[in-house]
Amino acid sequence: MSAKRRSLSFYIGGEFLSDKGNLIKYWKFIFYVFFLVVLYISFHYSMRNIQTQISDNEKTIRTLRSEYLGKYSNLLYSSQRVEIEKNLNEIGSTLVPPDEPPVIVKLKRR
Amino acid sequence: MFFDKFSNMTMLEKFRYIFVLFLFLAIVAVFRIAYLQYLDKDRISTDDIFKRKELPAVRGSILSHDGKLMLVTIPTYTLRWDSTLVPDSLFKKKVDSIARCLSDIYKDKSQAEYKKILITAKKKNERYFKLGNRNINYSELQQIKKAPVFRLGKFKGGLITIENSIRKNPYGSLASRTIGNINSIGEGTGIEHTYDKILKGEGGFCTTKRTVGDNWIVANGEPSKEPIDGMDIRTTLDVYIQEACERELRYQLAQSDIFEGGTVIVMDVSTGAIRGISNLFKKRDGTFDESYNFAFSHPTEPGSTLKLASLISLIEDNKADLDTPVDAGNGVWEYKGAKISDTHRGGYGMLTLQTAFEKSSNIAFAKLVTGAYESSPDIYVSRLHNMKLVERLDLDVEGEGIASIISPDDKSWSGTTLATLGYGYGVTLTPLHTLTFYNAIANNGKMVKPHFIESFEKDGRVVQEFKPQTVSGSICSRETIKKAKTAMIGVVNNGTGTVCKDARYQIAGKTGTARVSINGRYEDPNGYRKHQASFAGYFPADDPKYSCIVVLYSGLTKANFYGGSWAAPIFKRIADKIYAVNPEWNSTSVRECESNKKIMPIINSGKAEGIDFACSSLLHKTLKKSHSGWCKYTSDSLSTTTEPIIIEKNMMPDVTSMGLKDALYLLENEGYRVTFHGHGKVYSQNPPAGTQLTKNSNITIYLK
Repeated sequence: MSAKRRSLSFYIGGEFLSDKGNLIKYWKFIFYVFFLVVLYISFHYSMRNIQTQISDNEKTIRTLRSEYLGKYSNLLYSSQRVEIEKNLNEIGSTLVPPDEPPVIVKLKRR
Repeated sequence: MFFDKFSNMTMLEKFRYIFVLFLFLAIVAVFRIAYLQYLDKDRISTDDIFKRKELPAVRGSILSHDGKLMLVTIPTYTLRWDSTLVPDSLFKKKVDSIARCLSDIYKDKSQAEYKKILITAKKKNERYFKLGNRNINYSELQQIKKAPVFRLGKFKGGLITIENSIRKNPYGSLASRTIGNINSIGEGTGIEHTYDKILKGEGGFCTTKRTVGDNWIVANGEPSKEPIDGMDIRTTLDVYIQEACERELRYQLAQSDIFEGGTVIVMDVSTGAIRGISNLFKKRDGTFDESYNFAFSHPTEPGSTLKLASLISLIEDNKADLDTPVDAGNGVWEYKGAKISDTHRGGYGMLTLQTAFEKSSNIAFAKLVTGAYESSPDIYVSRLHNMKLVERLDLDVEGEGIASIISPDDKSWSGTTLATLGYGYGVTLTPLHTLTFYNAIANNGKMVKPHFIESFEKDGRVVQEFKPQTVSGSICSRETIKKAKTAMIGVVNNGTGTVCKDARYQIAGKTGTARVSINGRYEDPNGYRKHQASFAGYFPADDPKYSCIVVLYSGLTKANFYGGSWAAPIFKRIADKIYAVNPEWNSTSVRECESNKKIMPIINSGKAEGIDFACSSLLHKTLKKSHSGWCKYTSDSLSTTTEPIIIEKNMMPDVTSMGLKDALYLLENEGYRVTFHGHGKVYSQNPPAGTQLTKNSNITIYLK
């Protein structure tokens, strides 16, 4: 067999992968590279999942913030003195606004 | 035959064939990829995979001085409906429920009306039908999303949600003129407009990449810019005081149709911080709203409130003292062809400067000022300038009106101008200018600049702080200040401001009544006049904390309109409200008790660090600290024992004797779902302590 034909058969035929070729000697290195490639793909995939989760979390934060702001606004509105007085009147409460300020109690050590 | 030949081959030959086959498939795949990527006319371009996404900056909020939100951006939602996505049978079954839900939320139409509208929209196959008459908030949106048909989502129920955002004041219209607004083309008023650059921040962008499931995620390494959110602005406004100002002003304006509007300003004496400001203007329909800035954009002749400046000038220039006599006569004084009159029928007769101030006699002040300064009126005008009456305030909110004092060199200066200057005409001041002057007297002569902004903040941290600024060291001598204060206390105790008299605390101030010039005249041909009634002062008089001015503006009327009757009651009611929440003003509000060191209080279970701090601060004793973290406390009257609460993953801890906050905090942080009943301290829990649990387990606690 001519050198050219042998070379064609060696590479196109896949013999370089068999024990006739030198490549098989480096099987450990090939497995190592393969392992790195798998690791790279899994990292990339994992990172994409995390980014998707970040994006979902950001949406969740936005909706939670919307909910919080809506409820907090309602709370602030209800906490006005005029609203509290209105609500107390509606339930027939006898509470009235104070005329005197609250008392400060100072504890003296014996 | 080939398979027979194949089965007879050596291993290496078989391997060769399989290798060639896979090599061929790989080459075909590579060619196909290249064709799709570069040659196919329907190929996906980078635009289909990458997309630029604008990241808007969050606009900053406007806060009260204690951090409460006064203006915030909240999301709102417009709802539209694609009726073609809903099957007819389902729609017919559920239309009543949908109509009821919409009617309950929007409250603009009845259930029957909504049913009719929905049926019509469905018949017409509307694809973008607008629901309701307004935008809704997040809670309302969640309720609508639970309704039948709509809960099926966008593609089966047809509910289209369009998110918008609005600037909302949680307190309704409170301080709306001061807080202000801004439209899409940048026009506006108030703090919102003045500090638009600070509030709006800077938008950003990122590049997103399409992934599986039509999700778009941020593409690393592609062009991006982080948005810079706007800063929050902390104002000097106190919500409680602001509410009191607005409420009392609104109440008084509702007492009569005579009013055109009014303003109230409350200022912190030592710092000049504006704690409350209200401006109400009458609309065509007779209601009042905050659409006109009387407080610092509307200069007018102040009238009798300016007598304080005259009194100070006379005393400071040694032209008169509080006991200097002056004859107010029979109530009418002719001076250089003009008639100057007092409101009291028959006149006041002989007065002193003090009593003239208390009774607000125009004749007395005109006589005293002309008597002292007739030969050199420029001295009097200089004195008024020295008191910084018309000083430019350089407010930190736009819209400041210009104050002015007539000068002897002006063309309009006449023979009677000096006399009228004595009782408050010939000067135009905004209410804020007048209040700044009164505040300086309350502050022992030191004039401070009124201001609305305390700081700019980002995420709760102060970025830029604005300290109080002094306009003038002292506007007059200490002796004069003392006498001025005495005179103002006299107004409240004996004079025109007795409606502000109170046994609990002392108010000092001055009433003011002025006619408002209409086209250069104080009375129209039919005898109608416009008035301005005011009261300016401070409280408590012995240790001033707040100064306040109330100014009411009338429409055309023939009736009289006095500061003591209309403006002073508002001042008093606001001062009462502020007094009722300030115990440190009244020494009787402070009681001293001896603490009995021996008796131990009952202590709820909780975090040992916090409880130790509370005990040492309030009781001046420390507990025997043998544990840290969560602890259970058992007390008798003399001692307290502690034991640690064991917190283990997936095991129910003992939360009995804890308050609700601590129990919720502990249990929810462990990942459990908590339901509670009652209030007080936890006395029972289900499941009991030590039970094995999983994440999201349901727990019930009972409190009493």
